[in-house]
Amino acid sequence: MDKLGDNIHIQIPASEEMADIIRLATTAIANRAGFDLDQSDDINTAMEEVFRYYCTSCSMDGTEVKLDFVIENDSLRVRAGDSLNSLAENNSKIGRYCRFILDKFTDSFHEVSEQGRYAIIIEKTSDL
Amino acid sequence: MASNGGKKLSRAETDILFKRYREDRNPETKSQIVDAYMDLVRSLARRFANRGEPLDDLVQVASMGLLKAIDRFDPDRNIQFTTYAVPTIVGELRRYFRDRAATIRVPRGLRERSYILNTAVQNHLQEHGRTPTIAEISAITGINEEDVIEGLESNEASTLASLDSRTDDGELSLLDVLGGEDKTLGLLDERLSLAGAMSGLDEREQRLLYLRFIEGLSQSEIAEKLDISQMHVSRLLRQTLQSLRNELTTSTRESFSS
Repeated sequence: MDKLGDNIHIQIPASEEMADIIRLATTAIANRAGFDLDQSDDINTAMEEVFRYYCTSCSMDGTEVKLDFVIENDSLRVRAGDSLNSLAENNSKIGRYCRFILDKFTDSFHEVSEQGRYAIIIEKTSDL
Repeated sequence: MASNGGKKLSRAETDILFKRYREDRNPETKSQIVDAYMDLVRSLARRFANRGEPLDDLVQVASMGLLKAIDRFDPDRNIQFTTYAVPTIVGELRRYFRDRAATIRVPRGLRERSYILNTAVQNHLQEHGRTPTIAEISAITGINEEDVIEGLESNEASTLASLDSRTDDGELSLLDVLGGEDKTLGLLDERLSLAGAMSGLDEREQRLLYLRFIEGLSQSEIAEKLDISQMHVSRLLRQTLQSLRNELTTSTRESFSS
C-alpha cells in the first residue's frame, strides 16, 4: 500500500488523561513512516510534551487538540494546534521546556499563526 | 570444563573457539560455544525453577544470557568464560522475573509478549547496531504489527522502571550505575536554561538526562552504556521527563501565584 502523502487527522479532548492515546497513535503512525524504535520514541516524546503543554499551559481554541500527521517519503510532518497563545513567545519555564524537548527530539519545529490561532509544525525524518 | 555434544572440551579448546569466533563471528562457531555451555545454562535455570515458571522457559531465558555473554566476552582478558558468563546469565533470569513482577497487573499474554518484544529489540540492536522498526519486530517474532504496537505501549504505560532494579549482569543497580559524584547539574540546568529546575530531580535522573541531552546519546546507546534494555531506558526517560515536567509545572504555578 502506498503510504506517500498519507494524511491522518486526530481531534482529541485537551485532557492529560488522553496522553497515552496520543502515544499509541503516534507509535502506529511512526511505524507507517518506517521509523525504528529510537526514532519512534523521539517523536512520541515530542508529541506527548506538546499535547501536555496544550492541556496544561495554553488557552485552546475550543476543548480539543487537533493533530494532523502527514507521512511524506520517510518523514513525518505534524501540525499540532490550535491555541490562542504562542509557544515561541511563552517564556515561562514550561514554555521553554516544551521548546527544549521539541528541539532535542525532532529534526525541526516552528510555529505558524493564522487569525490569532497558533499551531506548531514538527518534522522528523527516518534515518534508515 | 565445558562439554560439546557430550564431549568434554578443555579450557584450551574453548579458548580456541572463542578466538575464532571473535575473528570470524561465524554463527556455526557460536553454535559450538553454545553447545559447550548448555549444561551451565540448564544448571543456572534450575536454580530459579521453584518460582512457578516452567523450566523450559527458564532455559530459554538463560540461553539468551549465554548468547549475550558470548558476544561480549573478550578472550584476551585472561578470565575464564564461566566467570564472565554466570553473572550475565543470572542477570537475564533475574530480569525476566523482575519484568514479570513489575507488570503484575498486566494480563499474562501481554507480559509474555512484552518479554518477547524486549528480547527481539535487544537481539536486533546487537546484530544491526540500531533498534528495529515495528515491521522488523513483527517479522522476527511473528507477532502482528498491531499487537507489537499495543505491546510496546502497554509496556510503557504499565511498567514503571525502578532505579533500584538490577543491570543485566545482576551485580549493580541503576542507582549504582547512574549515580556517583554528580557534576552535571549545573551544566544541564544551563543548557536547559531552566535555572533551578533540575534541583527537584534526584542525581540519577539528572545523570540520565545528561547522557541523553548533553552527551547526545540515543536510547539504544544509553542502553548499551548502562547494560540495560532499550525499552528500560525508554521507560526511565519517560519517567524522568515526567518528574521534570511536574517540577516545572509546580514552579510555574508558584511564580504565577506569588
